[in-house]
Amino acid sequence: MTVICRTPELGILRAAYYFPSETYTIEQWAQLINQPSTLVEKMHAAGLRHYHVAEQESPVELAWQAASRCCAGIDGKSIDVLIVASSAGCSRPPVPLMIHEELRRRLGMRPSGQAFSLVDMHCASLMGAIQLTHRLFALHSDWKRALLVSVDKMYEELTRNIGHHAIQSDGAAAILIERGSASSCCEAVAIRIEPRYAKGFHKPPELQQHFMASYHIVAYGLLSSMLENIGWRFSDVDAFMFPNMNPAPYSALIERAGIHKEKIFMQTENVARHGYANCSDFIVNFADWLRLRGPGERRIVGYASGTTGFFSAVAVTVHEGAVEAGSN
Amino acid sequence: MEPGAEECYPYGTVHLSQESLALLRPKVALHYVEEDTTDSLTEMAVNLAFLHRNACSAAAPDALIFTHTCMPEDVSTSTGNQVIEVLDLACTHSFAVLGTVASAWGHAIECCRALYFGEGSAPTTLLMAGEKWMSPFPRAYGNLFAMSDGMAMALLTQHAPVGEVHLRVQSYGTRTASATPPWLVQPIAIDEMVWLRTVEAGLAELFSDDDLKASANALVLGPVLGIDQERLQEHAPMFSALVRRTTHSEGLHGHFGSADPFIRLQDVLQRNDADMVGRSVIAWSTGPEGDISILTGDIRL
Repeated sequence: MTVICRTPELGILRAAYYFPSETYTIEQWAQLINQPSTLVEKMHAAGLRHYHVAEQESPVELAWQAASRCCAGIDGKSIDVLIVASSAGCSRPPVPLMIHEELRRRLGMRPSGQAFSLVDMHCASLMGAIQLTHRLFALHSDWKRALLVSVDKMYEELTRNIGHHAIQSDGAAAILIERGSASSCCEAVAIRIEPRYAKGFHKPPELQQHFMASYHIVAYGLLSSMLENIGWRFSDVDAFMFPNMNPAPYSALIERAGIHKEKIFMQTENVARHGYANCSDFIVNFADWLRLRGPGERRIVGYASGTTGFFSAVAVTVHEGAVEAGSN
Repeated sequence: MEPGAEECYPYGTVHLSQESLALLRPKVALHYVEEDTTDSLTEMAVNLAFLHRNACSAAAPDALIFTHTCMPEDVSTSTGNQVIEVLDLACTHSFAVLGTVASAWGHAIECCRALYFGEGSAPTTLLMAGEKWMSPFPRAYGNLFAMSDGMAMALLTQHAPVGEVHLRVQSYGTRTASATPPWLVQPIAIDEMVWLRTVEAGLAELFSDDDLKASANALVLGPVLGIDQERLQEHAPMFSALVRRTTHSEGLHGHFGSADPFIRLQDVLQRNDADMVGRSVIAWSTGPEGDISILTGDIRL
C-alpha cells in the first residue's frame, strides 16, 4: 500500500550531520571479527572502504552533535515538535533514558513542546517522520517548526555489515523544518508498506530473493507515482540521493527510470567515505549537495528503504542559496 | 447533532468493547521476574492481535501504531508490519512511537489524531501498546515502581462507533522533567521527595484543583505505585488527591508502562457494568523521571 502525501507547507530550513572521528577500513573490520577475504573483496567491489565508529560517544551525544549544529542560533522554544528517527532498535540509550527527552532539555524547548521517537520503519523512519510532521502541522495550525533527528549506533561488529552491500556507520543527522519556509519546499513524501517483508533479515530465503528481484520495480513504482503526483518527470530532477550502499542494486532502477548517472549525487564517493548511516543518509547527502550545488532553483529527490518492508521517497524544491548546511 | 449524522470527536475515540480491546499479561508483578516469558515483545503483539483477529479485521484499520518504552529483543524486524501481515490488514501507515514510561501512550494517541489529516488519512488506527522488561534494564525503582509486562490493543477512530461502548477522549497532556534526574544516569536510588515535587509541578501545569473538583465523580485510573502516603500528602498535595481517588483492580499490579491506561480501561469496561456509560474518566501515568501524563474522557454508548 502506497501513500503519497503532498507536503508543500513544509520547507527544510537547515540540514546538518555528524560522524565520530574514529574511522576504520573494511580490512580492519574484517580482521577484528575474522571475516573471510572473499567478503572483503566483494565489499571492495561494491565500493565500500571506510566506516565511522563512536567508541566513546553514546547515541545521545551523537544526536546532540547533529541537533546542535542544525539548530545553532535557533531558540529551542521556537521548536514545536522534536522527532527522533532511528533505523536500528539498538540505537538508543539504556531504558528509561530517551534521546528525545535529552535533546529537548538541551535545546531548551518549552514544556508544551512535543518530543518522541519514531522507530520500526527502520531506514525509512526519517521519511516517515517528515510525513508525520505534515500531519501534525495540519492538526496544530499554530505549529511552525519541527526538528527531525536521525541517529544510529551499532553495538555489535558482527552485524555492522549488510552482506557485501553496506557497512553501517555510527552517526547522526538533523533537519530543521519550517512551515512556509522561503528556503525550500518539500513537495511530497511517498511511503509504501510491504508487510510480508516484516521479518527483515530473518525472512525466509525465497522471500529475500523475491525482495531483491522486485526491489527496483517497487522503487521505480514509488518514485514514478510520487513524481507524477507533483507534475515532475524524472528528467526534471537535478539530483537523486540514494542510500550510501552498494550502487549496483540501483542500476536497474536508474536504467528503468532513464536517470542520467551524473544526477546520482555522490553515491559512490559517500559509500567509500562515510559508509551507510541508515536513515541519516538522505540528510548526509543533502547537506553535502547544498555545499556543492550550483546557482538557481533546484529539484532533488531522496530515497530510502527498510528491509522490513518500507519504501520511501521525498521530493524537495530548493530555492536559490537559502538552506544552510553543517557537518563535522 | 442531526439524527443519523455521524459524530466526529476532535480527539477521536477509543473502542473499549471486549471484542475490540484486549490485553495479554504473561506476567503482572515484580515477584514474577524470575518467570520471564519466552515470548518476545513482537510475539506478544502478534499473539494478542491474532487472538482478536476477527474484531481487528472487522474494524479495517488504516494504520497500525505500536508503542513501547522498553528495549525490544528483536530489533531487526518490524512489529507493526508483522501484525499487519498476520492479520492480513490493509494498513497504509505502520510505525512505532517510543516515549517515556508516562508519555508514550499519549504520543501514540496524538499520532493517531494527526493521521486523521492530509492525503491518505487514516480515520481508524489499531494501537498496540506493550512492555517486556528485560535484564539488564531495571524492572524496579526502589519501592516506587515495579514495572509489569503486558500488551494491550485498542482501536482509535475519529468517528463515534455506533452501538459500541467507547471512550470519548476529551483531552490529553504530558509534562516531562526539565532536567535529567541523576538516578536515570547513575546507580543511585530515586530521591522520592525530588521526584514528588517534579510530578506535582508537572501536574499543576496540566490540571488545576478546580479540574479535580469538577471531576469528583470521575473514574480515576492509574498505575500502582509504592509511595509513602505521608510524604505524598506533604510534598505533592494535588498528586496525592489524584492517587487517593485512583481505583485499582485486583490482579493488575505494578505499572504497565505504555500499556497501563489501556489495560486498566479495558479491565473496567469488560465488567459490562451499565452504570459505567456516561461516567467521566481520568487516566494518568507517571514514570521514574518524574514525568506525568493525564487523559480525560467519558464513556459512551
